[in-house]
Amino acid sequence: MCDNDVHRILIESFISVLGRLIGSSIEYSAKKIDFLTSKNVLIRTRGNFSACLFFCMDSDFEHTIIECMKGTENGCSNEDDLFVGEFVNILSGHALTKLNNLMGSSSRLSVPEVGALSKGVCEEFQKQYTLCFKSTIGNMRVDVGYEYRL
Amino acid sequence: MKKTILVIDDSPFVYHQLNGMIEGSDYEVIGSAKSGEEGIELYRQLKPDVIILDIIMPGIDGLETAEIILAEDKDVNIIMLSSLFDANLLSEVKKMGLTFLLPKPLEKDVLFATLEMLEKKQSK
Repeated sequence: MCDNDVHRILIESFISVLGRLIGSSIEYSAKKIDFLTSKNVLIRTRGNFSACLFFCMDSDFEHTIIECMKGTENGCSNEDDLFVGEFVNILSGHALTKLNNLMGSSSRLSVPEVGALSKGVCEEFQKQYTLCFKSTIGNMRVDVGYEYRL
Repeated sequence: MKKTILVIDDSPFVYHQLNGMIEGSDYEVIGSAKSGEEGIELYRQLKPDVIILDIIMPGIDGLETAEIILAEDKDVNIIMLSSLFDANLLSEVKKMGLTFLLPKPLEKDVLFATLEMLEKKQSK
């Protein structure tokens, strides 16, 4: 497996699971997206595929995700961050499942940290890149740092 | 009488999803816990027919929680749930004597097929 395979698996998994969760299509954007304000969530993996995935989503995207996962439009609640964390957990879990099955490895996921700080969070890893996604419901960016042992 | 379900998951998503899915069925959710520790306590109080148990949780995770509950009652019906469901995790779950690991998000057909299999297993 090469770095291109890792990128492809992450992109395909995120797009496929997002489509199922929100019932709306989202596309990969080669152009980097920056947000003035965003909800940030950090999730880590440990094992053969060791990584950090730092998710940033704009507020439109965040609100749609929460509504879709709650199944209602009941406005904000103190559980909203838990829904956002779960969304990141599901996206990352599906991608890591594919990577694990392909690599024959058993990397595990951490509990998501909602509201994590962004600065340099993925810098501890040799390989770093950013994946951006655009949709009619808003945008999402994922900063990825990783290394793997076969 | 309806069969009872206890949900153990740090996120409320599964609880919301499940309540929608089982509406009008022979099942009802009688409790939900946000951690393994809380889940074990609720299990002891409520003795549900089925436990739906998330694996990735802060504190003691779902696998440890299942181990503790199984040590108290080896016949308990547990459906493990995880966003991660690779071959290694599946084999870990099987080694513990558990049969069911469902991927998140839950799908209604898969959930009811699993509940049906649990019922058949019990009636044997």
